[in-house]
Amino acid sequence: MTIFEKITTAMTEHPTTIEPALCIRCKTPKSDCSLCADRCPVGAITLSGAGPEIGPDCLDCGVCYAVCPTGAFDRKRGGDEEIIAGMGERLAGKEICRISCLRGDAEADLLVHCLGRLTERLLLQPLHLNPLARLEIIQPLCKDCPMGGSIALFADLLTRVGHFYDLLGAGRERISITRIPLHPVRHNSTAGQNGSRREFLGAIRGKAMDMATAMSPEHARTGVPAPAVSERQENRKRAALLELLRSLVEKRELRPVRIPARESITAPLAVNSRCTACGACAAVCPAGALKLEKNSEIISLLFRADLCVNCGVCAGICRDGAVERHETVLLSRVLATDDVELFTASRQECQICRLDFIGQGVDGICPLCLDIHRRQQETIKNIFATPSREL
Amino acid sequence: MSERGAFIADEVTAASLSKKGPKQYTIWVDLEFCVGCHACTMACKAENNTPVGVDYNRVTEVEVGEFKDAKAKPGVRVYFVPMPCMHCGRPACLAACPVGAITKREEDGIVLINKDKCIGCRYCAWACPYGHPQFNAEAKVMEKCTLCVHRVEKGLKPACVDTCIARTRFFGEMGDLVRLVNEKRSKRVSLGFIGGETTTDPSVIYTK
Repeated sequence: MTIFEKITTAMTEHPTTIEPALCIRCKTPKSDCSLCADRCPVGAITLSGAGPEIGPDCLDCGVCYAVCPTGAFDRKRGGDEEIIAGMGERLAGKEICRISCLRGDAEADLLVHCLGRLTERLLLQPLHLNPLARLEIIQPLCKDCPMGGSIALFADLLTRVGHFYDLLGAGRERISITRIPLHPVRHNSTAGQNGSRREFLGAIRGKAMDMATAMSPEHARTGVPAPAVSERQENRKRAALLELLRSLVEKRELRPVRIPARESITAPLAVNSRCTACGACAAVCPAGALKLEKNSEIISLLFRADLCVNCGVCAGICRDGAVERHETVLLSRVLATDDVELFTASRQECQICRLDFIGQGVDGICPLCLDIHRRQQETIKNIFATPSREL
Repeated sequence: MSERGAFIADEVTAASLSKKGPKQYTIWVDLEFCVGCHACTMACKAENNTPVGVDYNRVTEVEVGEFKDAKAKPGVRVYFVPMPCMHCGRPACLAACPVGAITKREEDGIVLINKDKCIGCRYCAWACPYGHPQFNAEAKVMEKCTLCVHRVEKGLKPACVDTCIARTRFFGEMGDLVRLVNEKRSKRVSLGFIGGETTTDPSVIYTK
């Protein structure tokens, strides 16, 4: 490849891609998940019927990648793996891991574009490297920073990570925050550019984007319309976090930590008697945590706590309001790999529509067919009962 | 956590989700001449290759009027009402679908189920006031009348309209059909639309 080709490839091959099969918004357009678009510090992400799309303003900061619970965003460069690979060396022998952003302390051990880029995995890795590790987060005055929008969920992230530290017996006191004033953007060759260089590179990027668009319109966009068939994809972000947690747990005794459901990365689901075993929740679950299983006698709804991302789409979608969430959850549940049976009932097959149904049927006819018959009779009655109408 | 069924809009609030575009193709059925032969049902079945138990066009028999006595003028009449999909202006099925598998086309107002996206949950069947969408047990997805969109796109009429032996089904753009009704059947009582504008704004016109 020539130098020019190398540059254009680097410019046009966007480091962040979106997997529609994992995106909550793509699978269930009615869900109002907008985490990526809300947290993007420059508003580069637009949400449409086809899902999220990353626009040309993208700074490549990785906050969208960090914030998406299902791991729908994937990064070829600058993902968690890359940062973790360099951590071992930088933290060798150190007990305190100092973490900061480009506008904070440039001498920190772990430096990110913005603290919004941090994930549970990045904040737990130091503990894996050194069992006595402590985190010192040096946070500048975010509200004065133009990227300040991405910090809104940072406190929630620290709460969640604190729970994990408690769970592992390390204690949430190991995480401390030091506030400092907002510094100007540092010259850091690995992390970012200053104003004028950014403008220059932005101009090149713009030109390269135009060229790429002219050449192949489909490949220039990073957002892809939702796939016709929703193939289940693995949430690799969750898998990596669980792998780290399991290795941390090996050397420790787990504390019984019970936390409020909204602070948990997995939902304590319950299904009440209103369930009709329609399977909608299992079909829309972006993490594949719910499964509707049938044999000739029984229909059951099975749940995997380790896969659940606590997005709430299952409860929102259920037209009978059968899916609920307990108030609190035992955090160690996130490590469980067993299928929990949330609901089970004996299966019948409708004589008319041949659908599986449970519960109240009449003469082997499902409640839906009975209701449809009633509705059609009423419609017919109405058509002749009401007086004639102007067209 | 979201509210119970928070994502399911009811048919009235579905107004924000879709409306009748500039063109709405529809069917006009004059019930005066429908003899209940079910040829339309059969033609539809043949055209769309529907499995057993699934009929896009169902014909119902209705008795109207009261029998007074043998001397009084006959007051009882039987009507046959064929009911395809109403291709509503505010489809309840579209609003109810949790995965957005149902869309209403801009160019001709035909409401279609995308079978690749459909998860077979039957919410559309629960929502439709006419109980139209049906479950295909083999494909495990929902199906409904497509107004023979594959024929309409080629400039043909739906199979049920072409086949009617009493020539009592008409197909066309809604405005044109309304004009036709007023011209040809001005003496006839018009039933207008089943349900009317207060619910899902159905498109199929009935007269008797």
